[in-house]
Amino acid sequence: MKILNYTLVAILFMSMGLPLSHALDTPAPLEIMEKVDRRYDGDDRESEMIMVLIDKNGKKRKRKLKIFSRDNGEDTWSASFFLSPQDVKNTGFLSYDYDKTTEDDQWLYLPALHKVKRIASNDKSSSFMGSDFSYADMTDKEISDYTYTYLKTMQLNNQTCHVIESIPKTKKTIKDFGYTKSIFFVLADSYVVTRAVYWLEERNRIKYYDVKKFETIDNIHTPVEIHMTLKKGGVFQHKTIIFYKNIKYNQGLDTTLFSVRQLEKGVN
Amino acid sequence: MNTIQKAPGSIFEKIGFVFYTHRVKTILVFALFTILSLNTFEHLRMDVSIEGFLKKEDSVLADYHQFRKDFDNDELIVVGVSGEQVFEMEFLTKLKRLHDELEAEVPYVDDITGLINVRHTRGEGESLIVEDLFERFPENDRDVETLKQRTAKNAFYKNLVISEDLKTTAIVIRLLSFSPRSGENFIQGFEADNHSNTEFERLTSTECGKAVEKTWEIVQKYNKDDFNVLLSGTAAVDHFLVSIIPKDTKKFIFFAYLTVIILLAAIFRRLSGVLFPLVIVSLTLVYTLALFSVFNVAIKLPTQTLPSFLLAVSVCYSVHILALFYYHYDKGMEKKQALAQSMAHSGKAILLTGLTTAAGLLSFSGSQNAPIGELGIFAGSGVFIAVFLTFTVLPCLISFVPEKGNRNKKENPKKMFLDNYLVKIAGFSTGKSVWILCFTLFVLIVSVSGFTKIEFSHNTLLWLPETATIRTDTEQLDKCLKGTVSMEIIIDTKQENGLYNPKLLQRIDAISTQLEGLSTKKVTTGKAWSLAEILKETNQALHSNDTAYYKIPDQRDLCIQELFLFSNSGSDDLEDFTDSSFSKARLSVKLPFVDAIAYHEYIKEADALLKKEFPDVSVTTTGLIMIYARVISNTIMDMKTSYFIAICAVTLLMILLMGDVRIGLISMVPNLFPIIVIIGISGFLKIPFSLFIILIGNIVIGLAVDDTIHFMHNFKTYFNQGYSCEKSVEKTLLTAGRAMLLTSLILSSAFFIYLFSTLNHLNHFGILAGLAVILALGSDFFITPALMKVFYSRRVSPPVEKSVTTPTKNVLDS
Repeated sequence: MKILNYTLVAILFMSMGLPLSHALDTPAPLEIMEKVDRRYDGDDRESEMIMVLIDKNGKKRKRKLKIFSRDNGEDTWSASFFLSPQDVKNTGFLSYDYDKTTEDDQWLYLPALHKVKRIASNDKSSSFMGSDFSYADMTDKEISDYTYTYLKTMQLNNQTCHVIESIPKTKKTIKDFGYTKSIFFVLADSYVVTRAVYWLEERNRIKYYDVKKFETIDNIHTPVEIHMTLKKGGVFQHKTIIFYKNIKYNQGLDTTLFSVRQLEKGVN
Repeated sequence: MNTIQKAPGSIFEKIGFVFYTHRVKTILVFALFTILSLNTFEHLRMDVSIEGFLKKEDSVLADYHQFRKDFDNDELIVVGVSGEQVFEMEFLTKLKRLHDELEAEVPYVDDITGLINVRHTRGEGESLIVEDLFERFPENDRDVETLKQRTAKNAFYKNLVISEDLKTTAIVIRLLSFSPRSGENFIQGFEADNHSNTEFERLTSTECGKAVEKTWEIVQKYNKDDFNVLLSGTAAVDHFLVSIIPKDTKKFIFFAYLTVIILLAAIFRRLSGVLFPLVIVSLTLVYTLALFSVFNVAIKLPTQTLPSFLLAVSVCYSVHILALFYYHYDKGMEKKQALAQSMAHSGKAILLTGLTTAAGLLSFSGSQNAPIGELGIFAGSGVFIAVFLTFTVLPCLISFVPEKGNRNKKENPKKMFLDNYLVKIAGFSTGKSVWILCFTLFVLIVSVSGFTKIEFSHNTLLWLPETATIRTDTEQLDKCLKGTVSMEIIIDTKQENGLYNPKLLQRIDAISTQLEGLSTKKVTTGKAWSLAEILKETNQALHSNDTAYYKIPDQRDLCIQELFLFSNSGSDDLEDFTDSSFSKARLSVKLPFVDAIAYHEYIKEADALLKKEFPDVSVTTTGLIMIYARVISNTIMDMKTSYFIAICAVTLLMILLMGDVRIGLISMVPNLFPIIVIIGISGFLKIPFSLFIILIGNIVIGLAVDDTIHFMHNFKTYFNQGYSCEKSVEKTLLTAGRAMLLTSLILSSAFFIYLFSTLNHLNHFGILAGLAVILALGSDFFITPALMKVFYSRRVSPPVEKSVTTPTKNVLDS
């Protein structure tokens, strides 16, 4: 009888200790997300982007862009120029992503109008170049705007991942970025987001971000093939695959490249 | 022919004996079969959608499915809000709260569009701004006035989110096209992303119902005098129909059982006489409904009539056997012998009448309207099941009738009373045969003249009572916002980027304007809108909001880049009007909820305009309106073909049964009389001639012919035995006439039960079908004897045999 009692007491203690040890082992989600945010991804970058849009009937459309980006203090500037198809060739997009505010500056150059048009950009939930990526997906987010919860550690393609849930703290953040909830799969060794699930503000819509291929370029772990799938009520709606090619880091890109004037001039 | 006429009763006797003797085995087998059938009930499903009316292979349905695949759902819930002053702070605040609550609470929603979030495109300096109309909620009366002016100026908003008098606004809720996948976790979401090859379940009636009910619950909270909230839309109308059907069906079954119990108790005055037919009809219903599960066929609106109809028909078969059985049994005959007598005598008649009834029902199995075809097949199968159970389970049950001592019954005094009437009818119908036939001809001519006044109809809204909120709300919203349903036009260039063609876009814009001006006798376009609106408003915004630029640009590149700019500016509205490869354009036309027949003329005129504008481009007209229109055209076609098949099949059967072509043809007069009169009455009384009314013809011909078979069979037997025509009629009415009276009473009662329905079309169906059964009985009591008198009076009847076999004794005396 005594043995039984001791055993029960032991089990009780062990079970009491479990949550504690679990809590001690659990990495701090905010810390992980800060590492993701701080991860070095070059001072500037030049690349070619091939964007494949796939609709629910399986029809594909291909777009090719030349993309430049550079850090400007805490802010990020980027300039994209359409190379093909012919319909949108020379259309250019310039974006100043400010660190301290969501109200970024964005311009689109329309060669047919010979005009640069500014896009109201406090709403980052809109589609980036007609794809399944939104402007929010292409820009950095303010870490402090979200509450993070560590969900679990899991193996993904033989790599350890931290799975972290992110909930916007305010309705404004939801409205500006268009997501009510996100789950990130962060590679434990490189702090790169390899997968993400985004719950859209528009009901019943979920987007799945999936990096299918990484390459290490100039010591930077770089996603070179990214899939973004939109599902409505679990049903496939649309998909965008982005392939990055000819990626070059730290080329010393000039600030003049990120100007409205350059947008009008285009790139070769 | 003689073989058919003189089929031996011994076969039926033998069948009776087998099941009488092996009663325990029989009960065990049927009990097992019943348990299995009941187990299938969990798979029974209901489909009251308008699409459910068409066959899967119907091209209109195929177009509609393709449309839904490309452009999502066009089934909508429309919430209308009326008030004296929409543009007033208090009203707008309440409207915003309602909009937000609907957006947050209603399940299975794809998109909600209302005054609060309708797209507002404008230029501001060098910026293109695409945002919600109420992006910034007004803070004072000045802001409200600005919004009012902005709304009033925007042609796109009119009749879409605001009425022309600015007193009614709409919140349009579009439901998901497909049932959301349940149980898929966020990991699985990455794996199951195959697109083209995956088939998904359509949003179910239950899911639609939940969305409508939640909407209804929310709008009720806001409905006050100065904030009058209305609910409409095809999804809402369908849901209210769905919610009525189960209640109605339960009511029909309850009253049908009650009527049958009362009539059986009054006729047989013994427990077994009530219980046995009830067992047969209940088993018939269980097995027939199980067939729906087994063959995975959904129960649809017309199927609602099946239980009470089968109940009435199958009880008649039991009555025929039991009436004779009790007659012989009460006379002192042994139970087994009494059963043998009744099976031998009535078996053939039951089989033949079962065949004719099933033939009437199966005649619409080829219907283009799926539920009518299914009803024909399943009701016909139900009749066969009832006949089968009458021959198998009933003898088994009879074996349990307790043995009694002295069973010799006294003459029933009531018999004399009824007999007197039947004798008088026989005398009148043979004595005044010429007058009766002249009157019949007159009635037929008058009835046929009523055919011209028939108005074919399919309007689910009119099925609902006049006071039903969904009906009055829809009618009011149709007046204020010029429509609650849409016709969808797909212009398919069949090439990627085919829509990047200013000329084509200008033609789309032009046809949109033409369609907006289109008005037929009963249908006036509420609104027409397309991709052109997006391009025009973007073009205007990019040219300093100058209204002169509210047009499609002439340059191709400009069209492309303006659309590209729009798609990058925060709105996903583009995907509602074109596919991602810009090969198909959608043009939506808003129309009022009217009778499907009225859409025919409209569609015809719209098609003519479309053909003229797009001779070189593939144009498909689809949407729920096209399905409504198809249902009504199918209905008219069905009426022709199914009536033709039913009449041919029954005439052939009658000729075979009578063994005489002329008599077979003559016997069709009393069979067709009730149908012709009913159609005439529908015409004169302007009863909408829906597919439910069409059903009456086929059902009644199948039932009326039963009475005629009984009459002719008995009449011929008596006449061949040497009785005069008059005497043969009299004896027929005194024997078969009683059974005909009883079964007609049961059948007409079963149809009159539909008068208790909440739905108008079932009221019409019930009263006309019940009347048709009574008319069929009247025809066999008056017209058939009159015809016999005319055609048989010149014939010499054979001499009366000494030993006369009574075809059907006064079996219903007991």
